[in-house]
Amino acid sequence: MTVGIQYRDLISYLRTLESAVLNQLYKHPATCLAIFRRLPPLARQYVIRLLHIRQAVPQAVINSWYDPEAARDHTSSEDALLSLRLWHETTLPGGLPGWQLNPTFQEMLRQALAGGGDPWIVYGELDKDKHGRDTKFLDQYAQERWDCVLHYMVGSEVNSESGISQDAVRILLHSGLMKKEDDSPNSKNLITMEGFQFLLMDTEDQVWYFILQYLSTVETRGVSLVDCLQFIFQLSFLTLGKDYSIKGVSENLLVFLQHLREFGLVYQRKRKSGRFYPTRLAIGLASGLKELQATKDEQGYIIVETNYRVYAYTDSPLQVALLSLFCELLYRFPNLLVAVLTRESVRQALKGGITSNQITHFLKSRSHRVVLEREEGIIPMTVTDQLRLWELERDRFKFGESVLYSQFQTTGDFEMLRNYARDIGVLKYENPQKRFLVVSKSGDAEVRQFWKRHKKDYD
Amino acid sequence: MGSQIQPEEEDEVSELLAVVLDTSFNSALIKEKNVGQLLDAVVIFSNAHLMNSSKNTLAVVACHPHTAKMIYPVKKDSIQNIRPPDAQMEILAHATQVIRDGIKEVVTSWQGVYSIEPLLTGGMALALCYIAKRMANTVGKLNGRILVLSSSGESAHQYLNFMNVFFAAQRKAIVVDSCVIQNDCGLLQQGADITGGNYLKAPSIAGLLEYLLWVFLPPKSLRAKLVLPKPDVVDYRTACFCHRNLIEVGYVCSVCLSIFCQFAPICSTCQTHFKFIGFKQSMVKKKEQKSLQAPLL
Amino acid sequence: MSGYKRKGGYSTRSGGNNANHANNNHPERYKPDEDEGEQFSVDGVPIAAKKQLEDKSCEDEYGAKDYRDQMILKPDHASRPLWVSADGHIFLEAFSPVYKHAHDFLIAIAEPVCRPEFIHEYKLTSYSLYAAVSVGLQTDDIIEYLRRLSKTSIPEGILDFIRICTVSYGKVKLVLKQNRYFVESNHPEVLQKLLKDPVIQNCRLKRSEGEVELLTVTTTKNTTIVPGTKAAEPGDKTEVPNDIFDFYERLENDEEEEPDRETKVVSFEVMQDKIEDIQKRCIELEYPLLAEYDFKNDTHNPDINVDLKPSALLRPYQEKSLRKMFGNGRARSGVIVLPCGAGKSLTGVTACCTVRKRCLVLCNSGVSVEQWKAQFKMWSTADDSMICRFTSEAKDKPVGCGICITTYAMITHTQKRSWEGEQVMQWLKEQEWGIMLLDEVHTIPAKMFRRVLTLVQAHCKLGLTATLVREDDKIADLNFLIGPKIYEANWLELQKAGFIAKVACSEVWCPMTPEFYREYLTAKAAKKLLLFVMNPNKFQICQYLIQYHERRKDKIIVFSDNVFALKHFAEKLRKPFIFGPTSQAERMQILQNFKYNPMVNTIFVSKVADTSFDLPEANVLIQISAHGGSRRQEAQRLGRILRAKKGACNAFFYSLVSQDTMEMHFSRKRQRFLVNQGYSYKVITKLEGLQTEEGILYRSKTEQLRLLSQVMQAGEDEVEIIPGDSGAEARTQRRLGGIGGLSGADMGDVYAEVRKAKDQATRHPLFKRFKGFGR
Repeated sequence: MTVGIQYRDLISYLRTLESAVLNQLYKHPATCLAIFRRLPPLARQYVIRLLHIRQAVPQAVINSWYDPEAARDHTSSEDALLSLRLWHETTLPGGLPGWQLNPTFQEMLRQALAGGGDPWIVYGELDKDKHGRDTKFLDQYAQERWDCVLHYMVGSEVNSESGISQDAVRILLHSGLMKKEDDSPNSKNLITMEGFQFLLMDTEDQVWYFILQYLSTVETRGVSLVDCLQFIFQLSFLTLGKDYSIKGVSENLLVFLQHLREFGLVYQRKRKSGRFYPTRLAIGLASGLKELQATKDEQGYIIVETNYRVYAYTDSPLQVALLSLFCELLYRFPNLLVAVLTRESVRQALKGGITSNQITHFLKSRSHRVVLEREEGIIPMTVTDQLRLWELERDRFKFGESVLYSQFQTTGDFEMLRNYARDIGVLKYENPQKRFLVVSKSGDAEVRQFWKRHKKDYD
Repeated sequence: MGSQIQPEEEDEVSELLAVVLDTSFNSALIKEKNVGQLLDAVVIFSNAHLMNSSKNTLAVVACHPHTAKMIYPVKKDSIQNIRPPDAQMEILAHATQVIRDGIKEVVTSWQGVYSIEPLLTGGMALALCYIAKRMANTVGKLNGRILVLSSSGESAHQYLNFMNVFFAAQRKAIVVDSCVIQNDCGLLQQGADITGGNYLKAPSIAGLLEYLLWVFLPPKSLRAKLVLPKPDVVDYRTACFCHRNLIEVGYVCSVCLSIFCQFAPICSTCQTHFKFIGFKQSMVKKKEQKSLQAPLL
Repeated sequence: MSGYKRKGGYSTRSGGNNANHANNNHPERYKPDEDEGEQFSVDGVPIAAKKQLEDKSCEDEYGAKDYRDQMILKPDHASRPLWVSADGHIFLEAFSPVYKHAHDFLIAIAEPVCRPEFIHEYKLTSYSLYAAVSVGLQTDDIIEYLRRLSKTSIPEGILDFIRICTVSYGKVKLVLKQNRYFVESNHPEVLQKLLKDPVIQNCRLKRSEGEVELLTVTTTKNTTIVPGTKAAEPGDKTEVPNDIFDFYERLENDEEEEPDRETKVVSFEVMQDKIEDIQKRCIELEYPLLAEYDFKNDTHNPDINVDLKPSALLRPYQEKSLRKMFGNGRARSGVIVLPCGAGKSLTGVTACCTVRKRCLVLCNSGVSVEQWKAQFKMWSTADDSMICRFTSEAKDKPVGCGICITTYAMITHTQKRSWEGEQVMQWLKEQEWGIMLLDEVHTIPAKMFRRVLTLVQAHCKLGLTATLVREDDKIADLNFLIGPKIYEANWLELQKAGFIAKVACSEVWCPMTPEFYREYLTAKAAKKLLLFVMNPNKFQICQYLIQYHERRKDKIIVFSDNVFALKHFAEKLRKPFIFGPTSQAERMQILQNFKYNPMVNTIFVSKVADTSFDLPEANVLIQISAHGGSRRQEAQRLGRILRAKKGACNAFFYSLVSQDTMEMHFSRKRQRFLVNQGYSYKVITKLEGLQTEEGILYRSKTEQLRLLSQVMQAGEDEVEIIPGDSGAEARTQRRLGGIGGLSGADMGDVYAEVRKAKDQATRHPLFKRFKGFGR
């Protein structure tokens, strides 16, 4: 019953693009690098081995590369490469089937590895920045900006420069994370089920989803999707704490940059600056790796106890709102929130479409440092099991479409039909006393036919 | 009586590759003017490792007759100033530059003769320490491995050091691979065998990059899934303590296990007197007998 | 869910009863004529004790109590361990370096609510504060220390509450010295105030005419060495803010240091037969008397020659509790709370050996009497001649014995006794007992206890229990009658330290068979119980568990509240069982076999076992039928197996619950106590190997249906009643009784015809074939 937040990762997203678009995308080394890194390990090996071979290679040769025990990895690698159009089948002269790497991809990747070709646009020369920014500043900036979006969703606006742009609101509405209360012109925007699930995701996943939604609207504004994507991919290979140039970037891309600035993916001191700093959010974007969390010092703040109590060292309205989704809040102190996981509160969340996995993951990823070493697990096993059980409780019923047969004239009729249905395995339920039986929908056609045939005989 | 536990998703593990490069290229190579090609291969190989995953990290140690020095990563953070002139990935461009500069510095700082063995074991020890330090400082798991690139053949003088390094690596589950050019090195073969790595002898420089990429790039977890060349015979010869020659048969001191190729009455390491009960008689009986089978006490 | 709306706005502040609680009950304003009568004349409990903290919280948009504006965060809050909320709940970080200091303090002034691994919760109640002052903590000390430990500022309401509850407690003591009773205090003004009251004046004993002076005595405090204990150890100073550390040292050593400190004590004597009057009166005046027994200087009562054996080693928490009890050289009355299996008996025996005066032990049942006797003989030098038992089955000669063990029921028995019994009762009443040990003190209703007090005179009363928790929350009453809580141990810590066994608690969900469930849905409440207990799946699981553990050579106890189920299960599985009607001798025999006979590894017991059985060798507990939602019960049952065992977790507790029935709901309630102590309950929904196990009964449909019919025909009074276990519990007890049951004419056979006809209509046509199936 989970509502889909699809396109969770880069690969699935790219698979949905048309091949023409893909080919355009591959014309930049950054894209190729990004895709390369997301391939399964065995596929990456193959690509590297084929990187310097311009002609097609017989499939037999490639098949000799892998150990028979890893056959499954091999097939999944082949599929991955194929579905992303990184290689295609050809026939070698001589009739043997072979594989050929996509030439654009091959060339671009080689350039990225060994050099050559045109420099990336962000590599432009720059003087030293008088107002240089360090990682700490950038992290804080990214966090604040991104939190603005989340705060808006939850309806708790923090003052200062908060509030988000109309564009951002449009994206939220477009993506289904929020919706209008009613059709009146001044109606408020309210968060939806999907919005809840979104809030519980990790920041990296959130950013990626959000950007994807943004990208799906970008073409309507006359901006090239390919350009934007290529820019995003470039961002993900930059170094944190370093400034980069945007001289020579097209107008449309500059607008895109401003949006990225609003969401905290990049930092610019002024709109007209010729330079920008990527933040952690941007760098983690395409790589999809969760390890890009801030330093070890940034701690989690939640403790979950074996008696289902949840203690959160926070006063942030956003975090409190998130916890209230599935816990019952008990006390609020200046730096502590005391809540408890009850059957009712969790069921309420489950009804709203949140899964027990999401709840567990949310709590785990924000766990306080003292519980990291706990014997029963970061979240006690009993609690995770219980959450799962409450979720399963809602699944007690299996629904299947079926057809009811009743009002048989005689027991003989009933029994004959019943026997037939039982023999072909579609009988779901029978009640001989009251003479009715239930047949599954899929088998209904046959049963009906049978009945028609034999009814005639009987009469 | 189990309960239902959800399986955890698996994440990729960080890999740290330490390349221990023997920079005292032997004369044959210098004559062929292939040194540049070799260095290129090494650099591109290292870059390929970094390109593979954002979690991969690199260390490069250069070994010369007078010193073993870590040339990548360096403390001076010069990545701020790198602006690649071409399409190469920024971090790779930075690595390339640093490695080249480092090697140049090491090589030019030595004016002496090249017949002395390069400090390979010193370099390996450096690499091991670096890996261990990184392992301790990382949150989560870190896999380390070492690749030794040498063209200097046997380095029997450093036998003991080699053994120490290999066993230390084995304890820490660090794989030691070796790629030798033109000349075999039995000790490196042993090391690869002990730590579970691969040993390869590349016949020439041309194609070295391919060898490196094919055999040594995949991490340990992936090697099981690929078909890789395996050495059939490992040269398990050991070096004697007196001359540092590789020998197959020799004398072993039963106290400290030092190995000698010739008989000596006193062990040079632990000063034990060797006693032979039946020795004098057999000496008297067979004076010219060369092979002595007297038991050592 | 269409959209998310915030819950309604802020609720208005409750218009506080501010005026009231500050002014009420101030001693100066007390007028003897004011009729606040009914409340306390019956209970004997001070009014302040009934005070609850006013809840002046406002709720935030999520319904949580929002105290942020009453609590201001201190800058060094990270090094302080606790928060105090305005409704009296205190949260303590167990991982803080200051934890040890804070924990001891909080135990002394508050009641623990839940104590899992990382963050504990305590509650300030008037009763707990009373306990605090009786141990010697002063109001200002309490407030000061709490301030220092708190991360934030303390809400005003709390400070007021503490002051009110403690200002008048602990100031006056009732002391028995050399057979004379004195009302004693360190505060002369308090005594003056008391003496102004006419009732108290009446109780005063004047040795000579015209004596109006108060006796002033300068005494030196001397410490009592409790046998078997060591002196207190100094605390360590790492990472503790200095102010907290200093204070802690002062509090901890308050009683042990300066042994020769001189204190001025004023007192006046009172008449012996007016003791209860004066106690009641002082409570009414909000100066409850702390009872202390100066046993060292008691020359009137003879000593009994009983000592602790050298082999008796006290554990640290036992030492601590006894030290607190005998802290100032006298014996304090009160309650010690230790988990089951943590050595309550040894504590009681040690207390008795310290006082060395005649001792009366009150227990719950005949079996416990035997257990206590065994404990006395094991740990002390008392022998058979010194111990006499007084139960319906065993009456030893009371003359010349120093230790008498009996049951509450025996003492409070109102009906006619046998001649022998009468004699013994007389003798009991006439004795002056030095110390009275009250085992499982929470099981006795207040009323019964009051009767005990009127019948028996003891100078010092020590209550021993595992839980201060009662469903009806009448703790306050009872403990004002015995004395304040002296010490409470932390279950989880004891477990970590290896003093009690590490238990794996599991709840096994047994699905109902379709037929049983159908009946369950349409049955009356009384029948429902029987149906979900007799669920064949439950039976199978029980059998499986028994077989599984017997293979591991474990000793298994199976509990069932319900006698029908008990008998059925036990008979079907051919295991011995103990319930109400089982004779004492048979019980002992079964227990002996269970302990020593390797062939007897499983026994079934009913509620009788809820009261201190001593079965040190059992390590698996299976509960097939639960009684309402009593938390105490669950905790008690756990005590059966909480004996310290070497090695890893090899103690198991299974609670079998039928899915989709009321039993699930009750089970959740029951677990609350244990969960709050820090135990975690695992839920098992599937047992591997159940299908393949051999010999499991009730696999076939026919068997199950036969069982169902048996159940449906079962009589309606299959609930056992233990004598004496009435009172508060009765309210939660579910009686499967109809009129037939009360009149005794409830044998299924007699009225079978009639009932069957009625049931026929509601019965499922499926069962029509079982018409003729009788018992």
